[in-house]
Amino acid sequence: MSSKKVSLMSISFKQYSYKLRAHTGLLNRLLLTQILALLLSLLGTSSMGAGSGQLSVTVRSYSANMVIVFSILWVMIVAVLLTTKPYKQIEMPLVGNRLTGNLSDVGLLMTASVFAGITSTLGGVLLRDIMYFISDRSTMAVDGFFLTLTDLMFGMVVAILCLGLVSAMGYFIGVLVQANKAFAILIPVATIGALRVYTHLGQSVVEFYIGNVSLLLFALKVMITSIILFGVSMMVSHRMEANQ
Amino acid sequence: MILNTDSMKPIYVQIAEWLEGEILSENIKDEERIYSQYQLAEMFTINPATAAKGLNILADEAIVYKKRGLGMFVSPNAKQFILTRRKSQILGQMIKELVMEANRLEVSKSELNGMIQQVRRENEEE
Amino acid sequence: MGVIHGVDLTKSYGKLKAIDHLTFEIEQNKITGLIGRNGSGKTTLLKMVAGYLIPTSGELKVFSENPFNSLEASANSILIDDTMTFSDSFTLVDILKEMTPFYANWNSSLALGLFDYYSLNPKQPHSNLSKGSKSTFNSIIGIASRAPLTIFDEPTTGMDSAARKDFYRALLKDYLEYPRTIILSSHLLSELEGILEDILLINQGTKRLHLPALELKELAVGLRGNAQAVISFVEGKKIIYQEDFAQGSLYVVLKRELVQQQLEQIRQSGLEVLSVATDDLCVYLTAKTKGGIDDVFKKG
Repeated sequence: MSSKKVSLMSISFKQYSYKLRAHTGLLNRLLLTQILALLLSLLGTSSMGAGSGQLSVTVRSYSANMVIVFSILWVMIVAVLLTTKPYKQIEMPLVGNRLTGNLSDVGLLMTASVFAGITSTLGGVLLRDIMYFISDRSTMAVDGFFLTLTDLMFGMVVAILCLGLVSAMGYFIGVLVQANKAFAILIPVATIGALRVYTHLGQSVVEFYIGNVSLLLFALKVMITSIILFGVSMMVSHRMEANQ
Repeated sequence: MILNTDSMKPIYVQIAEWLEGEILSENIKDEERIYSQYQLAEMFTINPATAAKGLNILADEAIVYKKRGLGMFVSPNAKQFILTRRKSQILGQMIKELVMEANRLEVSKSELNGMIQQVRRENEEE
Repeated sequence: MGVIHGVDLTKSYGKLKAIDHLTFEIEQNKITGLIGRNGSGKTTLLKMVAGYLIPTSGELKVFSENPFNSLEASANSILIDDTMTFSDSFTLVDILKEMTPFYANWNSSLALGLFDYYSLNPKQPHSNLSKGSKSTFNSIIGIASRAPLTIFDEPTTGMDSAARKDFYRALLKDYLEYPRTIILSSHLLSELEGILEDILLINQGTKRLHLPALELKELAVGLRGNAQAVISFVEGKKIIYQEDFAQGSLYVVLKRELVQQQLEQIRQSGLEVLSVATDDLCVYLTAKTKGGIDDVFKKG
């Protein structure tokens, strides 16, 4: 019996499609998270009150940021989870190697980012719709209330890119922790330490990515960083033994 | 069909003896095709290599012979051959052990003969 | 022709050598039994062969390739053990369908046929299965995959005796129809002995025996009877096992070839010549300490 030639990409794709069906539970959890975030958003993200004599004013602002923030947290958790033993173990009965496992994980995270990006942006639209119908329209200040399609698409792309970057970071951290458990302590300590010492570090990192107005440049920076993070993750896990 | 794996006899010997039994009872007649190693493997849930060794015992004694591309066939006079051999070998061995056991139990020659005659009579009456 | 070649293969965890300078070869399209006691290194060896673990030293080739992290080796082999996990999003029948695209020789009708035969609940998730049912289900995957190298690590754990017999028979029947290289590991030889062609016996990570299953049954012989008489026949020969049987009586096991010429003489001197059950022989050959469990009680 001769051994048959197999292609890396075809096996990776088979694993990706298998994992997509195997992890439907994770997607359900995203939708739940987003609904929860939406309900919290309905309470208003900030509220200000002022009064003098006969007149009292309460300003309540609403924002769908909560939905995005929750989605980002979700994608981060999913990325870390995928590197853990119970999730890696479902690859065991399948044909594949470390690389096909990683590539299918990346595919899964990209799909998750796109899905979460679209749903969370649409969540913002939904929030506007709900507010439109349940609140007294005469007292509504419509600052950026009506979205143009371009704005919507722009928002979606930015959300997807952010989610993708966060998933790459999550996966990288997850792989490091799997390679050596010490990273589970080392990474948070180093991050907090760095932020303490260089107080402007966080700000300058954020500025590096969103400091310029060009979407293209932003996209390029995010994608290159993600590719580097995923690439290093793959190199780290390359020599790791399975099922240890 | 169940083989006795705990038996002193290796499985392939049991296979050979079973096949001889089939020939003796004329379930497989002279010049007929005998089971292949794969059929035997399936029938007895044994490895085909084990079944082949059982068949080889019969082939070595020329009880079966190989027809190129057709499989193994029962030789003419196979039944007679098996009968003769079993008489000389198996019965011979049994009698040897019988006599040894009789000596150990201090059974005299005439007593032993008497016992054999007794069993024969009982069998005839049945 | 060999499918698996191991030369001086070692796998250590710290100071412990799970596999210790093991040299062996598994031949193509044979059913080989990997036999050894608990902790003898069976699982470690199989996980290296399946490409999950990296050998610490030595050489290992599966289909003339280093199996670790090899896509080629993975596509041509499958390891069935009780750590196999599947997502709860899948029912048992889903799993059988999901396996199809991964294994080139996958036989769907056989998989579903076996599944129906064992009357497992098709809607159940894998994680809810009892130990025995899990082994049964996993074994279906192993048989239906028809992978050129199919490895079962303790496949019958938790199965009842009827299920074990069915498994061995199903495996053998499909092997006859579609010959391939199969490795079965077990601590218990007697039940699967019949379907094996070769036996590889390992102990503490080293090879004790590797021979055709047919020869194992005739490898050793047991002599029992008067201690003096037994000793007179076996003196100076290598004893595999010995046990004080009764007052002044001794039971020894040794290689048949050492006494083959004298067997008749031994019988005539009133000693019993016994065949040694293969299971017992394996236990004797892999004993960690000299003597048996009885010696523990003697000291007290």
